Amino acid sequence: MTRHSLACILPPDLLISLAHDADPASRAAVLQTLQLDHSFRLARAEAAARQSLRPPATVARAAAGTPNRSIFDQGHSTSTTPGTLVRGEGQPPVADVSINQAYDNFGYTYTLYWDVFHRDSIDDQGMPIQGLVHFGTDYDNAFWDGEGHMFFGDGDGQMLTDTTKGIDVVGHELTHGVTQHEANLTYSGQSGALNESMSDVFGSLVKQHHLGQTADQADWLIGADIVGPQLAPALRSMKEPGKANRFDNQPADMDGYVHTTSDNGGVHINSGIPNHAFYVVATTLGGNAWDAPGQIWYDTLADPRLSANSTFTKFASLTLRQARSRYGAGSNEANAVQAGWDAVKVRVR
Amino acid sequence: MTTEGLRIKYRRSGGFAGIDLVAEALADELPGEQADAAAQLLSGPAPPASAQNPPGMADQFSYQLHLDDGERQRTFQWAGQEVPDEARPLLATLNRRAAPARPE
Repeated sequence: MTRHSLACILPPDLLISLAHDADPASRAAVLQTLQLDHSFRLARAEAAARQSLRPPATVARAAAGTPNRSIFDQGHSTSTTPGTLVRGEGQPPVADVSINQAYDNFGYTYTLYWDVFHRDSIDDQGMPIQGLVHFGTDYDNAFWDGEGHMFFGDGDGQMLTDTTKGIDVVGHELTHGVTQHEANLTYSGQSGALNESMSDVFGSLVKQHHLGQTADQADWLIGADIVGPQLAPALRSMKEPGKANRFDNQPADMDGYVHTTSDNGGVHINSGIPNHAFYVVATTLGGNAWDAPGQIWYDTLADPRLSANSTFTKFASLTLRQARSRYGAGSNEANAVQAGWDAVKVRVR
Repeated sequence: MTTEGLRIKYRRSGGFAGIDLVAEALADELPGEQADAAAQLLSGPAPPASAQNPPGMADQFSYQLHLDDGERQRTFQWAGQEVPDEARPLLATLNRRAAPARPE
C-alpha cells in the first residue's frame, strides 16, 4: 500500500494549500483526508452538543435501577403544567385505572431500558418520569413534550380510547425522550421518520419484553390496545406496513416513499420503512428482538456519528457498522441487518 | 364584519396516530362566535412568514386553517399548543366534523 506522507494530522488550511501544489495521487489523498477530518469534526461537535444536554455523570446514581414516577391528573384541562399529583413512586394503586396504567407502563419502559441496555431512565441519569393523565376532553392523542412530561388523552372513543392503556404507546413516547438525549433526530423528513421509527421499535420491544414474547410470537402492531373502531385493529404494523387499518398509508420500502408536506414531511408515514427493516432483522435472527437487534439499534442511537439530520442510508450504514463491530463482520447478526435494509430497498454502504 | 361567503378549510396532521383529518365548512354553518372568529382571523394581521412552517414536536398535532371569502385568502399553520385561544373553539368544531384523509 502506498503511503501518502501528506495525509497526516495537519490543519485544514494547510491541507488545502498542499492540495493545490500536489501531484494527482497525493492530491486525492489530501482531499480524502480533508473529507474525513471534516466528518470527524462534525461528529465531535454533535457529540459535544449532545453531552451539553446533561452534565457528565461521574458517579452512578445511588438509586439507579429504580424508576422515579409521578402521575398527575390534569382534570381534562389543557394546561401543560402538572395538575394534581395522584400517585408517586412506590405508592399503591389508586382508584383511577388510567393513573395506574400510566404508572405501570412507565415502569415496564424503565425496566426494558435498565435490564437490557443498562440505561437509567430517559437521560441515563435517573430522570424523573412524569405522566399527565386526562389531558383535555376526548383528546385523541398522547405525546412527549420534550421537557420531561408525557401527556395522555382519554381518546374520543372513535379513533382512540384511553391512551394510558398502550404499553407500546408509553414506550414509544418515552423513547422520544431517549432520542432527544442521544441523536436528537430532527423531527422532519427522513430524520423525523427515523425518530418515529426508533419510538415504534423500542415501544414494541417494551411490550415484547414485558410479555416475554420472541420475535416470532410478537404481533408487531403499534397501538392495538388504544385504537377505537375507526382505526382498528391497530395504528401501524411493523410486519406489514400499510395493512394496520383502512387509513394506514405507510410504505413497506423505498419504492413507496411518500413526499408530503403533512405530518412534518410524513414522519409517521415513512417510518414504516425503517420499522419493517427492524422487523426483518429481528425475525431473521429469531429469539428475543430486544437482544441482538435491539442492542444494534440502541448502539446506533447512541453512536456520535448518528447526526440529527441523518438519512435512512446513513442510519442503515451505522446499524451495519455496529453489528459488525459487536458481532463480527460475517456474523449472522450483520447478515441479518443487511437483509433488513435490502428488504426495504435502503442502500447500505 | 361579515361572514357571508367565507369558506373554511381545516386540516389536522401528526399526532401519535399520524393520520390527517380534514373538514370544510361555510362560516355561516358554524356557531356565531366561531364564524366571527374566522372572519377576524381573515381580516386581522397576517401571520408572520416564520409561522408558515412551524417546526414539529414529537407526536403533537399540527393545524392548518385556510380562509377564503372570494376576495381575500389567508392560511394559518399552528404547531401543538400554539393555537391562539380565540381560534380554539373554531378548531374544536371543525375537528368534530373532520374525517380521515390522505396526506397532501
